[in-house]
Amino acid sequence: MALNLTMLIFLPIAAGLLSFSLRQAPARKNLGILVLLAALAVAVTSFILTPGRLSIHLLDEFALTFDHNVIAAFIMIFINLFGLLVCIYAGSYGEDKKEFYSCLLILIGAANLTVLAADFLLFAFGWGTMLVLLYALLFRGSHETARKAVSIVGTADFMLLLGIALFVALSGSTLIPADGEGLPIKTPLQFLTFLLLFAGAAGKAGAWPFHPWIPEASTSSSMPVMALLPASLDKLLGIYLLARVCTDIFVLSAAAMGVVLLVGGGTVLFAVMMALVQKDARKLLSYHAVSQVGYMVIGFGTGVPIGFAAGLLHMLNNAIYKTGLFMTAGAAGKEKGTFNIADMGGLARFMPVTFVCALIFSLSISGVPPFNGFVSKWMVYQGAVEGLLDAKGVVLPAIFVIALIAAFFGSALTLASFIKFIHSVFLGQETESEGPAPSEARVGMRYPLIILAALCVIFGVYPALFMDHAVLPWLPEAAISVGEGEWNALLAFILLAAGLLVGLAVVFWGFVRSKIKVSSAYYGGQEASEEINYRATEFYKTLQEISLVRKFYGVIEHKLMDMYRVLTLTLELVGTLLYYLVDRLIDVFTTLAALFVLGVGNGLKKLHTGNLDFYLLWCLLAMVVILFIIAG
Amino acid sequence: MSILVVAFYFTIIIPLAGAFVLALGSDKDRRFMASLVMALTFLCALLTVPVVLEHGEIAVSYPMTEWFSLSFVVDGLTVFMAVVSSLVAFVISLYAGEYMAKYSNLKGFYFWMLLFVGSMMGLIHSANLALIYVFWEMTAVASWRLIGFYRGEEDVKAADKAFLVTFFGASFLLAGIAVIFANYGTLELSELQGVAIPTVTALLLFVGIISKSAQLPLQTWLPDAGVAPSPVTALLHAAVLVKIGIYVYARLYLRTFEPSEVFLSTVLTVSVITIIVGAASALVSTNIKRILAYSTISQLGYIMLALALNTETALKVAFIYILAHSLAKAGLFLCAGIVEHETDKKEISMLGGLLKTMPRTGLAYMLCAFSIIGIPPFLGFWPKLMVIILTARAGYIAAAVLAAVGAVFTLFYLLRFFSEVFLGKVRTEAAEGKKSVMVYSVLFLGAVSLLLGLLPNLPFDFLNMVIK
Repeated sequence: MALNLTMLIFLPIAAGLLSFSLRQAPARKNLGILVLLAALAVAVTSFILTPGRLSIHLLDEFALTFDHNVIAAFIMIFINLFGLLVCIYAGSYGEDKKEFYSCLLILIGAANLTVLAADFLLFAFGWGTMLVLLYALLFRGSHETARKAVSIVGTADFMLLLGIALFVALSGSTLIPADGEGLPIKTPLQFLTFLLLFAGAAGKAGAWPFHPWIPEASTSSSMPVMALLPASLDKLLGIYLLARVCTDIFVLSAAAMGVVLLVGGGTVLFAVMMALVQKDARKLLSYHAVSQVGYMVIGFGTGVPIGFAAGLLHMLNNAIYKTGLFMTAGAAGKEKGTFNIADMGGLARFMPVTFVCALIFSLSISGVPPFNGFVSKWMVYQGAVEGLLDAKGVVLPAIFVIALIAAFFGSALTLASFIKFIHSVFLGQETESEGPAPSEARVGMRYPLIILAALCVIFGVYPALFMDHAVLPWLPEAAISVGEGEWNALLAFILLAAGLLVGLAVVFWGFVRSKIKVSSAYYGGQEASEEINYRATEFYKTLQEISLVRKFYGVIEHKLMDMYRVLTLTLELVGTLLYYLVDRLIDVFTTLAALFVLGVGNGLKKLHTGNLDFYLLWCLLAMVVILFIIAG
Repeated sequence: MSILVVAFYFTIIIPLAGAFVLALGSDKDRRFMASLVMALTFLCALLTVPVVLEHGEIAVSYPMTEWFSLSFVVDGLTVFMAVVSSLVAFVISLYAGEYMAKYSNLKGFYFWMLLFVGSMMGLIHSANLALIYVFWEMTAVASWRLIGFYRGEEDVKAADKAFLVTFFGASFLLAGIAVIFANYGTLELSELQGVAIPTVTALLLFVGIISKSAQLPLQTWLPDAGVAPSPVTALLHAAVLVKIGIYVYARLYLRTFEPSEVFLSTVLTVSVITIIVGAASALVSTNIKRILAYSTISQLGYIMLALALNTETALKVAFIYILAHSLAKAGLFLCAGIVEHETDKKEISMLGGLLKTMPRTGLAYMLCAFSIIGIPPFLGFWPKLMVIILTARAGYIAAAVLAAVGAVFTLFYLLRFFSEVFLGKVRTEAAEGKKSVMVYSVLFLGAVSLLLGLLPNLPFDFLNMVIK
């Protein structure tokens, strides 16, 4: 364990601090790559060779304990892998400031610490440290967005801390349970504790309503920052916690499932609707980053093992293709000098590698087989159906149905959205722009894309790589049904590949054997010109004109669902009330008390006239009073 | 080792004697000598550590009358408080050297400042209730003169308010002490140990404590006292003075008397209300010092909450909280002081964009703010989380919830402060000094908050060693 701690936590943090003092950008990048390669190697080794437990005593029952579990070890591999890929990518992207590399390395150290934590104190420490680094990274782009992000995620973090406190009160120990036998949720206190821990996880993962900072950050921060945090690390850790909450910490009750499913379904639909109308590639991807969390959340909300497995697999898959998508958008945007998708068309011919990768990522996120997104989405549906069949009563099955519809509908809209994305950015006609003609992404940006695209295919064709080695050994019930309804990825891949080959053969045959006439495009008998060109960005404009949808966008426009705004207004309202009704009121009483004392003093002072007759009068009055008392 | 036993005397004598000796020199001498006196005081406080490690506890007593004696104690609580208070006081004295340079005739300032620190050290080590009361009032007089240092109408009014409110509380404290003497015939803490104190008497003493530590409903003097020079605000209202009440509470109710359940519930209720009202008021305040003063009120509520749980673990957590808060809040007040010193403005609406001209002050502010909010890896995180956990474990779920809500308020008001003062539109060209001791002082406090947060076993091990 000592080696693990050194290589996975202290080394990245030390390198992060050292990186700050390095003057040359390549040196910072190389240091980062070297350290993260070493960390990745140790993460892989620790997955194979289980290290021991280590504990540092703090105070009485409080200690900091490091331990190792199979799912955490697997997640750690991807934390370091994503860190490494972003580190390579960032150098070529031009994100080579010393703060970036420092934050990246320290962030990886903190993330490793979080998953290595076996007690809540240490877990919260690593978890919260990432908040400071999030602030530092976003601060460089926009101060206001950084403030918003920290306010929202910080609130979620404090909800998590309270959840931890309540759970410790319930269980009597600060250790995170690891035996897969969670507490049943029966009492209101247990339900509240569950909700708080769930909020902490959802806050980190960026689920609705904790999402508003992500789209804003996408336009103010660089793509490597987005690829690192909202796309990969936040999802990995948020869903990792959710997985622990739903298995090791609690056994979900019907009410808990209902809440999780509703948040999941709501997140899918809300974010995908928002994504559909975005004109900026970065914002579009950000809303999808939010939307995809919904699937993972639904997976855990099903309460069945296959749902949990689906949630975890989708977390990993999403991190792969979403990081890739942010990277492709970054590469394309860098070439065109804009992220406005209306101005980006026709890049495929200049950036074929980037295009193919973007296509793979887009198909993956849209849940098209044989890519990884399909497998995990399929499992989510399977889990939801299984959960629905198990659900009792009326309300929970209804919620299951709503979540299923949201998931299906969301998937269709995701595909629609990515048709728009791919068409606008890479296909269609090339838009005119100043500056040199676009060219393929640089090597440092290309290779991370290729690796991630390859992972999309590998995990799509061979999901057992993750399932058999990480998920099944960890799940409390390893009996995930294999049989009817089970997605046979390999067979599907062979069939699809065969279909693709046949298709290519037909095309090839057609080109070689037939003479193809190439002519201009026509709309309604008129030759297509720039004026009547129907841009992909306008694909779903009609959708916005539907009354209900228009109202939805109206509510969003007025920020009525913006958690930051709601939180700020609520706190200010409560603050004002308490300030005036308690603090100022007490101050008024304090002042009145002082005035009363002064008044009494002044009154008594007036009695001291210095006039002898006056004093004698007082004596006489006093004697009369005494007389009455004695007599009476 | 035997010679070190007397080290604690010097933590009291050096600043008290220094106060009178410094009255003789020039302002320039005073600036340097005051820091030297504080450094020596800190050194002497450090020398008491090995004494406690070896002997555990030392008590000395010189009886004077039936009820009054010069009784002193050196134990884990005194060592921790003396080291923390004198360290922060030393950093503040360095800061004050530069901050107060633009004012003349600083005889009074340094006299009262050193007298205050000496009285504080005396109070920490006192083991007789009457002696505690004497030092208690000495700190009140010193802070009265220091708060009203500028002698303007508003300053004098605020100083009078602080003095009168704390004196009002102190009169209850005195009444409580009198009742104790009437009932038990002694004011020696060593002889009162284990006594089950009646709730009413305990409450009498508690009124005195909350007046000093600015807990509701005797808190309103603290925000008003922000008119004082910033080193004074930092010393009195963040680092040292307000901790007196907390310390005396710990000494009386966790080391001497056995408080009743009713009393502890009252303390718990007061502390939770203070957390929320203090934090809420900080959110709507617009004066930089008032925001920080309300923040202090709220944070002291957390310490009081820990103490109300009445366990040894909670006591230790409260002391780590005192350390974290003293460092970070002194840092915040001193940052506000730099802003005020360079811009002559206190209202956040008149400030903005200072990060451009005061980057190091801004950085120090953020380091200290994160610690106060309770975000890792800063020191403030550990005690805040532990307080909330311990409160929940003791079964006070509502209190734990409100403590967490208070933390969310803290996050919002300290971020708002930073955004309004250091970010946004530049409203003033004022800049921090390049080689300013003031800036280094705040950076030091921020860096220590971070370092101890990263290595929490250092303060916890120290505490475990001295408090057994």
